[in-house]
Amino acid sequence: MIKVEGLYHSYSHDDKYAVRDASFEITRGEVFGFLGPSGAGKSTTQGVLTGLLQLQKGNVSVAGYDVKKPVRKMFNKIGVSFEQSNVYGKLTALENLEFYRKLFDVPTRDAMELLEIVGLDHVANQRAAEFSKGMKHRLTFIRSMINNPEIWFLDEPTTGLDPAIASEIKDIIKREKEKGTTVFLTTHNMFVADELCDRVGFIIDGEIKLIDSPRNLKLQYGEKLVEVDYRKNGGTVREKLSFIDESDRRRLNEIVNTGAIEMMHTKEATLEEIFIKVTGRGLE
Amino acid sequence: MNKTLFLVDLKANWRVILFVSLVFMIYVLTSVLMYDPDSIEKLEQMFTLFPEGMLKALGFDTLGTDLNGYVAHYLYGFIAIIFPLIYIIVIANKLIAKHVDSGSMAYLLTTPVTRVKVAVTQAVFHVSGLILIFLIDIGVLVLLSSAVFPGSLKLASFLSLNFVTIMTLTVAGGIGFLFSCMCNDSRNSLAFGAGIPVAFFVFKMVSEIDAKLEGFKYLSVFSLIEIDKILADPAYGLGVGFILLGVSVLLYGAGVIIFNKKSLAI
Ligand SMILES: Nc1ncnc2c1ncn2[C@@H]1O[C@H](COP(=O)(O)OP(=O)(O)OP(=O)(O)O)[C@@H](O)[C@H]1O
Ligand SMILES: [Mg+2]
Repeated sequence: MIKVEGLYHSYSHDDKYAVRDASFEITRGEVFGFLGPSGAGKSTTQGVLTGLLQLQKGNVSVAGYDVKKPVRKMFNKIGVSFEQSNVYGKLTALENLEFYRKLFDVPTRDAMELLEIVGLDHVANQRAAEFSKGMKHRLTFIRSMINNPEIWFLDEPTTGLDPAIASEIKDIIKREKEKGTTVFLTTHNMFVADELCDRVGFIIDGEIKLIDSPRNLKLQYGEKLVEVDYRKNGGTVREKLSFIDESDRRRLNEIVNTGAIEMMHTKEATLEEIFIKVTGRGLE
Repeated sequence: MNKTLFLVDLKANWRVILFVSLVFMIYVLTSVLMYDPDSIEKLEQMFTLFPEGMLKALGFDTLGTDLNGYVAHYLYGFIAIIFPLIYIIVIANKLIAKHVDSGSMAYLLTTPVTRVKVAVTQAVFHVSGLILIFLIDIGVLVLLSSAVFPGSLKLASFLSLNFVTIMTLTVAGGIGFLFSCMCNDSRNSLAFGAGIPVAFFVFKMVSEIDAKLEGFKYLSVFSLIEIDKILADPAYGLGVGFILLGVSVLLYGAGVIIFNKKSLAI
């Protein structure tokens, strides 16, 4: 669905690249997470993919269209939500969606239904200028799904929202994923990425360092630890043991043989820890 | 042209159009109602009390002796430029630069509406609003004068004067629109897109204050509104108007082309 080869982008048209030699491919129905700290080049990449920024160098195809020669029809197939939400303050929530709906030449979703999904139906006829930031964000978010996009670009869809709304947004993305929508999800929230993404790409200073599934990354980079709680002398003791370490493995065997285990679970590294391990940098 | 976008523009900007039309109309009404063929001379005598430069700058130096001349000098030296100019400047900035600035343009451009279509729609809206203001006010003027002084207004020369005036304003509007398309933030867009048209206006005023400053008229498109010459020879006005029309088309066209090519900050 998305194919990027050797993509470079410089805002100053020189060798100061905001994105440098990025290559990746996203298949149909996949949720791809683009992770990196602030200023890494995530939004820039999305900008090029959605045709807002000129393609300076490299090859990019989205939904089968070459971004170098943008075709109107491509935009019938994609939905975009940028970092900054934006709505027309002079129009009501419903009018905002209706306005947007008319700009597409494909069947669109019912505006009222979309408002219901994010709990904005009760303010459908209120002018968007009177909305709170979170409400504007939700309105922008549902607007990006009005044309039933095959590919959905979401830049920081959960950032700055209260946890309840953020989790609501996550659920909506999950539902769309089940319907087969391809998602390009930009975030610096590792938990969101872990929960939603089939694969993630780590980008830092404009370069993609690594692309893999969260599961593989955890298997590869996570130190496989096991936490065991067992009974000893009338109390409960907890020990943390590594699968890799020889003596730890022997100790684990011993505990298992006592038959006194109360609880045992493997502990995996978080994506955040892996990100730091791979890039040497944190996410904030 | 995209009808949906045009209607949203209208919804967002009709107040400005209405406001400018109404203020302009106050002067239209007073110009016709104050016209009294017998008292023109008295009025001119009264004006001799004022400094000549000030009267000239305001276009009141010769009021003309017929309704045409009177109304034309009363309105087209100052009023019919400044109020529509306010509309032109404010809206030029709003139609493109402000949308880019606020981020709403980015969303608009991720729909199947092409950039060219967006820019052309905004340009058409810009000019339509200007024409609407003139249609409303000229309509009132023509109706009122034919009711109060039937047969006094010479339509051909009067319309020619309006044509030239509107076309000077579309040139100013084209400049505003061009900068609105070029700049990624609305502060720069305003600095040039409003600065240059306002400078035109000031140069025209200055050039009329004193013969020594007359040279300034070459720096202003508004100096082409030569009231007496156009009233005397409507065909001349038509010629000037068409040249200005050509310039306007080039300016708006350049805006559209630049907008189509540029990278949009997001
Ligand atoms: N309009 C612009 N003009 C010039 N430089 C820019 C512009 N937008 C971004 N940059 C620069 O490009 C680099 C990448 O920015 P980008 O917005 O893509 O980062 P990001 O990964 O989206 O960060 P964040 O998590 O803060 O949104 C940064 O160094 C930034 O300063
Ligand atoms: Mg960003």
